[in-house]
Amino acid sequence: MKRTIKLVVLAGALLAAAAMAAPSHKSSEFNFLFPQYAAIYTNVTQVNFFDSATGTEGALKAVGGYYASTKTALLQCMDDSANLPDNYTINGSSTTANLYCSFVPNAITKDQGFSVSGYQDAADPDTDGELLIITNASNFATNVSVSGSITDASIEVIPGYVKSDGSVAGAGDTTAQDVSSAGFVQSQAYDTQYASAKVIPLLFYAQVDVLNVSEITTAETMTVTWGMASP
Amino acid sequence: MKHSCKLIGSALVWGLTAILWGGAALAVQGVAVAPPRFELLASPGDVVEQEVAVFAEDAGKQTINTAVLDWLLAPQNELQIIDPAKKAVSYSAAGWIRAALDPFELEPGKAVKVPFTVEVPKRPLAGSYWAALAFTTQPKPGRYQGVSVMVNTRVLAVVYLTIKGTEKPGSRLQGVTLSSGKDGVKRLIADVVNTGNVYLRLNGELRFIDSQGEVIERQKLPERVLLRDGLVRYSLELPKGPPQDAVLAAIEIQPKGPAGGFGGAPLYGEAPLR
Repeated sequence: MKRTIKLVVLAGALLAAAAMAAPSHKSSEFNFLFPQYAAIYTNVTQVNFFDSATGTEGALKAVGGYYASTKTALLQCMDDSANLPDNYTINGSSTTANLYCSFVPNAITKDQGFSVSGYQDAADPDTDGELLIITNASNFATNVSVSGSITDASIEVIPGYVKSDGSVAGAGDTTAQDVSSAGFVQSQAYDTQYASAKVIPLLFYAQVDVLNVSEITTAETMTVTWGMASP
Repeated sequence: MKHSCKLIGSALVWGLTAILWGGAALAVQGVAVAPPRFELLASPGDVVEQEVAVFAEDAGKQTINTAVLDWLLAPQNELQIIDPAKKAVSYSAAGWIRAALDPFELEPGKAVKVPFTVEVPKRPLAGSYWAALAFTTQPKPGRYQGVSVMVNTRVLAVVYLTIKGTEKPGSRLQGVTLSSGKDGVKRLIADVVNTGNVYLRLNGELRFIDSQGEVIERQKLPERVLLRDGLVRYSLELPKGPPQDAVLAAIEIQPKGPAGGFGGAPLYGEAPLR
């Protein structure tokens, strides 16, 4: 029986709408004085899934999954989850459903780089994730790996992926990959209007086994390392 | 031989970052290298001196960890980073790279030059070898309760070393087919296999050809690196409406050898669209 709470805490495409409103720049305006360079930036250093874990062993404590496109809705979902009574029954029948709160932008376009609706208002360094690759080298490849272990819960981390129509797949139509034992990779990225900058949408996805939530009495951390190279 | 970088004006790195992120006051972390790769030619017994600049603009003061790591590219350009202490990789140059691997402080706007040497063994060697210097940010002190995920960033300064005079570039294009995925999208699949002893840099184009043999549309292929003993798989999504008169999709690839040298004959393959 699968007993999980899934929290998609972060979703992102990389450019806020405000940035997209900026005047178009020619790539020559961003010629770095290094002959060649490769950079990776993110605005996320830490994601807290539970400030303090609570629950009763064997009881499912969650809410039905729905998408939230604003931070407020996401937090409400999480609050709802935390305040549910023990032995909460889903849809009046089963406690086996996969339940989650998710946070995804509700519209992403790539007319001029990325613009994101329903995302920019929620920008918060604690909860929103963005990854930016900047290189003028002729290619790039990326990698993400996970180290450390969480003994009473498992965490999955996935990058969002970009569909052919330019939209970003959310948690509802992508399969989380368990990266607790082996790293995985993400090589898809979009060019922006800035010649040397590429963006990679991200999803951070945690799966916490509710059965063991009550055993999480001390801080448990995992480390996600995003890597890039221009080989 | 000493590579030098002009270390001026790197503030533009963050300038671009800030513009792209709309100037939002976010807690940014990150790390950059210049140059991102070293394509070296040397003889057995040579000691090659190099230097890489590490920098990060406006990301606050950061502690950067340094390591020499192996890396590979899976067929669809997936970067795999491997700790040489945990797994042996064929053609690894990790054991040849000498650098100070102590963590160092990186301040915004101030590039740190990291010197390193590549000591090529004297034993008979041939072809290309590779590894990387990896620079990784360190988690900042924070409040850890419940379940937390820490996020780091890592950038590689890739180092290739090819033994001078031993290069035997070779590659083969195989399995050019048209495939329809579950999503209904048609893709041209093509594999390039390295049959030589050096890495190759692959560039080329996808062409749509009509019944008269005329090329009616061209698409540039993204550059790919074909490592020694490696395989590059192209999975090229065809446009929803390929040119109406197109009857053939063709792929042509121009391989280049180490440091832009000779990479062998061009590769060509095609698949009928109808």
